[in-house]
Amino acid sequence: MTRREFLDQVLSPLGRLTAQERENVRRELEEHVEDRMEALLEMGWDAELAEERCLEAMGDPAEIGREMARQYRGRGWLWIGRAAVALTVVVCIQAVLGVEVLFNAWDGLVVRTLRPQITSMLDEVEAEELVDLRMGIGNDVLRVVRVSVGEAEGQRVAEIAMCAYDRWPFGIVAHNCENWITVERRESEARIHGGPASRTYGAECWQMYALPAPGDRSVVLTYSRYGETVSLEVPLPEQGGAV
Amino acid sequence: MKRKEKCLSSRRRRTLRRVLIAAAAVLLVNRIFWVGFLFPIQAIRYNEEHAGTGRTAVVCRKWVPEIFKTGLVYLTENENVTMLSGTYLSFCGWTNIYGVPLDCGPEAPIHVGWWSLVRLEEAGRFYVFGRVDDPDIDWMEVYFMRPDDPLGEERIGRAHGNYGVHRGDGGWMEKDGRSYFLFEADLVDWSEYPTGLRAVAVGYDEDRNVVAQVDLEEGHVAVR
Repeated sequence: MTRREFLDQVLSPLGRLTAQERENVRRELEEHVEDRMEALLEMGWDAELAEERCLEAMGDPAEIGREMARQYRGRGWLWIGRAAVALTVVVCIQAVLGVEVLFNAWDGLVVRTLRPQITSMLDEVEAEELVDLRMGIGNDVLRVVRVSVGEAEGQRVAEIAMCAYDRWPFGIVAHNCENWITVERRESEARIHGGPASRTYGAECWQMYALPAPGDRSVVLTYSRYGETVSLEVPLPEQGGAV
Repeated sequence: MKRKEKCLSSRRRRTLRRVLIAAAAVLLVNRIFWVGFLFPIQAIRYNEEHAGTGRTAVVCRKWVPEIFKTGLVYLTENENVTMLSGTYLSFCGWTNIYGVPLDCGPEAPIHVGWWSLVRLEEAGRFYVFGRVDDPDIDWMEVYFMRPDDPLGEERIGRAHGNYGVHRGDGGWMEKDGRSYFLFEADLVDWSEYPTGLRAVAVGYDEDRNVVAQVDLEEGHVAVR
C-alpha cells in the first residue's frame, strides 16, 4: 500500500470534515509518517521499505478513519465557529463605519490630560490664571481650566472656562451638562450664563460668567441635577482678584 | 495516537478561539465605538450615558412596530430620574433613539414629560410619561389649551385618543415603591390649531378633585 492509498483510506469515512479540516488531517498524518521514516532512514533503511514499515506500524487505515470520524462528530462547534467569524466580520465593519468616534475619545483624552484651548470672550483681560480644579458631576467630571477677570459688553466680569468629560476614557459626556451648572458670587445670586460651547460626545467645553463684587476672592460653581448638588469654589486670579 | 488527539480537538479549540476573538471584538466595539449592541438594554445604557442619568431600571417596555419593525420604547427609572427612550435593531446592532430624561430630584406631586417618536413621513407616536409622588392622585389627564382659553375648557386632545390614565390601568405602574404612568396617542395634525398651545397634566383624586396641575415642559421630538 502506498502512502497516498493509505491516506485516502483513512480520509474516506471523514465525509463530514470541511476541506480545511481534511487538509489538516492529511498533513498531520503525512508528518507522522515522515517523522517515523526519518528515524528509519537514519538507521540505514531503504526509503520504500521504510515507508511500507511505517504505514504498517500505524495500523488499519479504515479503523483510524472510523476513530477520527467519531471524534469529528461535533457539527455544532463548526456552526458556532462560523457564526463567531461572521459576527467578527460584522463588528469590524461597524468599527470601520464608526471610526469617527475615536475623535470623540481623543477629545475626551485632551480635556482630561492636557489643557484644552477655550477662547476667551472678554474684550479686555485684567487678570488671568490657569487652574486645574475638578469635581465629579454625575457620571462625568467637570474641570475648570482658566479663570479670568476683565471686561465684556461693558461689564466687569469673571470668566470661568471649563470642560466636562466622562469618567471612562472612551465614555460619553452628558449632553448639555452646562445647563445644570451655575456660577455665583459668594454674596449674591447675580450671575450671567453664557459663552459658546464646543461639544462632542467625548467632551464639552464652555465659559461661564459672574459679576464679581468688590472684595470677592472667589466664585462658586454649583451643579444641581437628578438629586445631586455639588459645589466647587473657584478662586479669582490674584492680580485684580479682589476687585 | 497522541498526535491524533491533538489534531482531533482542533475543531473545538478553533471554535473557542473564534468565539473569544468575536467576544473581544464585540466588547471593544461596544465600549469604544458605542455600536454593535447585541441587546436592546445596551442601547438604553447608551441613552443613560448621553443624558447623564446614571443607571436606571426598566419599568416597562413597548414594542412599536408602526415606527420600526424592531422598535422598542423603554420607560426606565431610578430614585431621581424617569426616562423614556427607545431603540431599534439595525445593521449596527441595537441602535439608540434619544429620549427624554425627567429630573425627579426636586420635590413635586407630579413629574411629567412628553416624547414624540416620529419615523419621517411614515408614522409617529406621542407619549406622555412621568412619576406621581402624591399618593392622593388616582387619575392623570393631559390636554392642550388654546392661548385664548386659559381655563382649558375645550381640552384639546381628548378627541385624538386616550390622554388619561387611572391608577390600576395598564399604563399606571409601580416600581420600587414609586408610581409611574405612560400613555400614548397618535400624532395630531396641529396645523388646525393656533400656535402657542399649552400642554397641561392634571392629577385628580378619586373624587375627581384636582390635586396637582403642571405644564408639560420637558419634552423632545425624536425623528428617525
